[in-house]
Amino acid sequence: MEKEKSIQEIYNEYLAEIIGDGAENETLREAMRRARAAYRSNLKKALETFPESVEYKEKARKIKEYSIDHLEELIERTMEAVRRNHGHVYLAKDAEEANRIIADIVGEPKKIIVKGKSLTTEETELRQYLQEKGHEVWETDLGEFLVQVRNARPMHMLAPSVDLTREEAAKLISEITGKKLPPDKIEDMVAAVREFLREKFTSAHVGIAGANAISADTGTLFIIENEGNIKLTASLPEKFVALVGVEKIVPSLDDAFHMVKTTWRFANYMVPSYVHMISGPSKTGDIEKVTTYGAHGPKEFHLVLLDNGRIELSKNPDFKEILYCMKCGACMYECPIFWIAAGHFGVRYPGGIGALWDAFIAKGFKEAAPAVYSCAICDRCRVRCPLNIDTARMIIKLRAILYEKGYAPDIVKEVKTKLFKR
Amino acid sequence: MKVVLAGRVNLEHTGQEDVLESIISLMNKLGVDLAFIENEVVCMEASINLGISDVAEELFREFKEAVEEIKPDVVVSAYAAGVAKWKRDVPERYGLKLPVPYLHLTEFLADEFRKRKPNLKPFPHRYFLQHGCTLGRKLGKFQPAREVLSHVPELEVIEEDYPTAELEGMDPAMFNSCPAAWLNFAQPELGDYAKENYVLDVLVPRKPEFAGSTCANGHYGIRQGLEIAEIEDIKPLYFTQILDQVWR
Ligand code: SF4
Repeated sequence: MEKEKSIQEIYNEYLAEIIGDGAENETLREAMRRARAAYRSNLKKALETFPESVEYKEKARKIKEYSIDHLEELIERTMEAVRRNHGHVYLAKDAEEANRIIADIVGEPKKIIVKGKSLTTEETELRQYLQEKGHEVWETDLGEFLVQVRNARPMHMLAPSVDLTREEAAKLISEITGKKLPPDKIEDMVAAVREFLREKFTSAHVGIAGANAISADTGTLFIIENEGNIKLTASLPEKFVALVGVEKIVPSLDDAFHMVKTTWRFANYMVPSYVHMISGPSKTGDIEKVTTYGAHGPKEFHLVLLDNGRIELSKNPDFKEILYCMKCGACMYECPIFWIAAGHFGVRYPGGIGALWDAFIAKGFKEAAPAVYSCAICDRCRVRCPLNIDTARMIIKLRAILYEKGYAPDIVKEVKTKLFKR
Repeated sequence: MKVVLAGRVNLEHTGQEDVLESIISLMNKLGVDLAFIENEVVCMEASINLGISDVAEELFREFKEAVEEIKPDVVVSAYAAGVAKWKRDVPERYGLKLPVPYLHLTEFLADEFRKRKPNLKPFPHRYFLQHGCTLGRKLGKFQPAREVLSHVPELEVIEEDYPTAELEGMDPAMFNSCPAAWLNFAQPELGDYAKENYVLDVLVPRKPEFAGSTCANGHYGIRQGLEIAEIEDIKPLYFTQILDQVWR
């Protein structure tokens, strides 16, 4: 049996990665400089064009406060609505159960699966799980595709390959597609990946994605995207499966749309190319008004709602704010640690808010501890966050719990003896 | 007026004696009766920020008792953490309250300068001012430092801008970058890279001659960052060092 790692071993491994792969990597630092400059200038353009977006923030916060306080009731309502829409709906208590449910939906024998970018599927490690079952799984978002082919992990919530420069991307895509692609022609890189994945889309049996919001009243998923890969993922295969954390549920269609527009505006889009609303399988009533499922889109619609600690967290007054996070990624562009380390700051979820997600949802206190102590508690993320999430304050509170459990780094324990002389 | 200067040991511990001397000298010039806490521990606020919960209450209680014994009119510190902790965390968590106000040095000096209108010599230099994260973003105190420095003739104060601050109805200083000084306590190896990056990305492009933070902890971060990045043509200078130099 493998010996459980000591907390100091976990710290050492984490520091070796965040410093070795992150802080010491000049290319990554340069990529982050470019990303930050682009983020700020795009946000400025968006806020100048749509000044009313500044007002979105307060209402979005209120919607999340209400939704997290009424989480169980909203889950019930969502499940009823999806069934009413002739969809299949499941509430998975943890990552393992979610993956198992999805593997059952995919079925046997080996299938081709196309996948949209989704942090929730990263949380459950769904792609790896399905690959181990022998299925051929393809990430279809360009950034996530690059993560898959270099066997890395996403470096940002919405821009998983934010750490990659165009030079590195050109090299990588040339290797996969066998085409010689110059770094100054990003268009050619995009076209090469499109051609490569097109065949996967048309032969896929199952499409899998996440969602940015769900309206409990109608059971409608809202998915924001730009590339069109979700459009294909959610419409070409026979079966469409969405894996969504329960915290994405809000009471109504209007609320869901409000959350989605707040997400995209602060995630850095003027207007996204697509916002999908999906409420069930494709259907037609064109012959004698008899509703028949499976028209041009998928015949089966499956919604897997993931708990994985969220319901319990929604009842914790000190930390429930963690669940307000819309995963827009805005805070990361202003984080001094993210500037030098990108997604190496964090384990499964990136950044300061990611350290909290890791601790309570994805990884547990012990594994998340080093990232919790990487936070500079500068509070800049709260100012950038459209929901004003007080990450630094929660980090400080969590540190007291980690310290009590013996998960603080040695250097912190020494503060007590060396500085406080106790 | 009797003033307790909190955080002397922090300044000594971090090798910022020059900052400490300038504060003491300035206080003397203002005719303040300065007192210190005997046996003060280095940065007791770190007990809360790092989660060292088993000693935090004891440290704050001892501090309170020491203040009660000295009977000052006010407690003043160059560090923002004490101001913040005594404002919210300490009363909320431990039910402890100080008998007198706890002010940040910028607030104290802004009040004093308003009363005295000091006659200062010109200081014709470009000075980059960082608003400490706790004092600025968390407590919203930007104006006292600006007000104090506005008394210095010919001083050019440079602050960090932020492209959407005005559109979002915020003071640009709300977005001031962070020199990551708090990492000194928890992950100094990582902190060094963040400090260096702060200097290279935020300070160097703005070409100041001097740079400093409103908070002595942030100031230490800037100081370390300049050293790590080996930048010699920007000198760390705490705002009290300017005031002390230009006092007539
Ligand atoms: S914490 Fe706020 S800014 Fe950061 S990803 Fe979540 S919602 Fe976006």
